[in-house]
Amino acid sequence: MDILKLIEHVPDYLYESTEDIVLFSSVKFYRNLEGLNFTPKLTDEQRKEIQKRILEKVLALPMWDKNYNIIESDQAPYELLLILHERGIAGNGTLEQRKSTLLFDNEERYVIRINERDHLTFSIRSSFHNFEESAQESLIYIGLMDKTLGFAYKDGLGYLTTSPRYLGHALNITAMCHIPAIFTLGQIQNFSSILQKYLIVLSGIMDTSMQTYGAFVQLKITSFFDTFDEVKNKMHSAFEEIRDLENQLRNIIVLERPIEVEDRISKSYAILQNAKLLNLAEAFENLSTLRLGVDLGYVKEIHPNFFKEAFLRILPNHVRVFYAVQGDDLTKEAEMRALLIQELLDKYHYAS
Amino acid sequence: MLCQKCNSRDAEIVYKEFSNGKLITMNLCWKCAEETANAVREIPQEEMEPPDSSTKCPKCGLTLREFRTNFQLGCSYCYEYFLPFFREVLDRVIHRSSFSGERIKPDRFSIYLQSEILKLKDELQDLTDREEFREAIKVRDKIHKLESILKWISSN
Ligand SMILES: [Zn+2]
Ligand SMILES: [Zn+2]
Repeated sequence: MDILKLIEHVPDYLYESTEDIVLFSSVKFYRNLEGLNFTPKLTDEQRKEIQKRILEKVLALPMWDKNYNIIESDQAPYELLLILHERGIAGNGTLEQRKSTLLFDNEERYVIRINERDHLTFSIRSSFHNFEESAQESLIYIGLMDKTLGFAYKDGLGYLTTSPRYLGHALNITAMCHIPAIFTLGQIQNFSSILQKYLIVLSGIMDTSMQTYGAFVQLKITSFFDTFDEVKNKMHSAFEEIRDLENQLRNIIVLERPIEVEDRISKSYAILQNAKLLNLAEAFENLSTLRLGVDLGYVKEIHPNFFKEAFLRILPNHVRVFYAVQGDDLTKEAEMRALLIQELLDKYHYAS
Repeated sequence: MLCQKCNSRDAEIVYKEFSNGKLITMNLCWKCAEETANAVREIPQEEMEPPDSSTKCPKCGLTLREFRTNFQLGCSYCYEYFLPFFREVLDRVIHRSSFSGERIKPDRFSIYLQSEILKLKDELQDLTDREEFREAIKVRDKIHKLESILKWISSN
C-alpha cells in the first residue's frame, strides 16, 4: 500500500460533508463469535481460524467495489499502522498488540477490524447528512453477519463484548463536531449540560487517545443495554440541541459583530499564513477560528475544502511520515506542518 | 478525554451518582468507576477481593485479578461467572438494569429498503422533470445500490 498516497487522500466521508457543525459521523459495532474465547484468551490457531471465518463472510457483503485493502498488522510496516491509527482505521489495540487484521475500502467508509479487542469491530463512517442511510446500511450488514456467523448473545445482556462497557446492541455512535461559537463565547456550561443529559463522552480528534484541540470535539454515545434505535435517537436529539445552541451563538456573532471575534479570526488567519512553526495544538486552534471566519463570511477567499484536507494531514504522524521527519524532532515536525498549511492555503485560495 | 478521577486513563463511561438529592455525572475510566461504586456501597476491600483472588472462569481460565487489571473478559461464560463482581458498576453507568431489546435481524430491513427505493424513484422522477440531471444521476446510482443490496439479501 502506497503510504504517501494514503496520506494525501481526503476520504469521501470528510469531503462530501456539506455542513459546518458535524464534520462526519460513525457507527461502530462490537461482536464476538459464539462458542469461542474472546481475544484475551485466544490461541494463535484460534485467532487464525476466526480471521478466516470473518473475512470470508465480510468480503461476501455487497459493498466492496473490488477496491479494498487488507492489512495484517503483524506484517505491516509500523509507520503505516501509525497513519491508519490517526485515520481511525486501526485502534489502540492494533498498535499495542499487532495481532489484528484490518479491512477497509479506498474511501475509508467501511472499516473492519478483526481480532482487535473483539473478534469483529464493524464500522461505517459518513457525512452527517448521510448518517441515517449509513446507519440503516450498517444494521443490514451486522444483521446478516449474525445470521451467517452467529454472534455471542445473551438475553437480558445483549451482544457479549470483551469489555462489559458495551452490551445491549453493543455499539457506539460518534460525531466529529466543530463548535467554535460555543467555545469562543464561553457557553461551555450550556454545552456540558447537554452532554450530561444524553450521557455523552467527549473524545479527541480522531481517536480516544488524542486530546481535543480548538473547538473540534468528538461526541460519543455508547449503547450500554440500549438498542440501536435508542442510541441513534439520543444522538439525534443531542445534535439538534448542540446545533441550535451553536447556531444561536453564531447569529449573535454575526448580528453584534463583536470586534473581539473579528480580531481573533484575523489573527488566526495571519498566524496560519506566516508562522514558521506550528505545533498540533496551535494549528488546530487557529484552523478552528479561521473556519469560523469562513463559515460566517468574514473570510471569503478560502474554499471550505481547505479544512477538510488539512484536518487529517496536519496530524503528527501524517506530517512526520510525509516529510520524513527523523526521530522525535518536534521542531522539524512543527516547521513542516506550518509549510503544509501554507501550501494548502494557496491550493484552496479562490482566484479573486 | 481523560478520566476525571485518575487523569491518566481514557474516560470510557458516564458515571452517575446521587449526592444531596442531585444527580451528578462524571466521565470516568472503568477502573475508577468500579472503585467509586464500591466505596459508595461501603464494601470492605476483602469482600470485593476475595482471598481466593485466583477465582477462575471454569471455561477460559480468566482470573478475577486478570479481569480487574484491564476490564476485559475471556469468554461468554465469564459474563455469568464474574457478573456479580461488576454488577454494581453496570447499575451506575446505565439507566436500566437489563437489556430488553432483541437480536438485530436483517429481515425487517428489506421493508426499509423497499420503501426507501420507492421514495428515491419519486425523487428521481421529480429531478428528471426539472431537468436536474446531475442530481438525478446521483439518485439513480443510489437506487441501484439499494436494489443490489435488496437482491443480495434475498439470495442469502
Ligand atoms: Zn480513572
Ligand atoms: Zn471465561
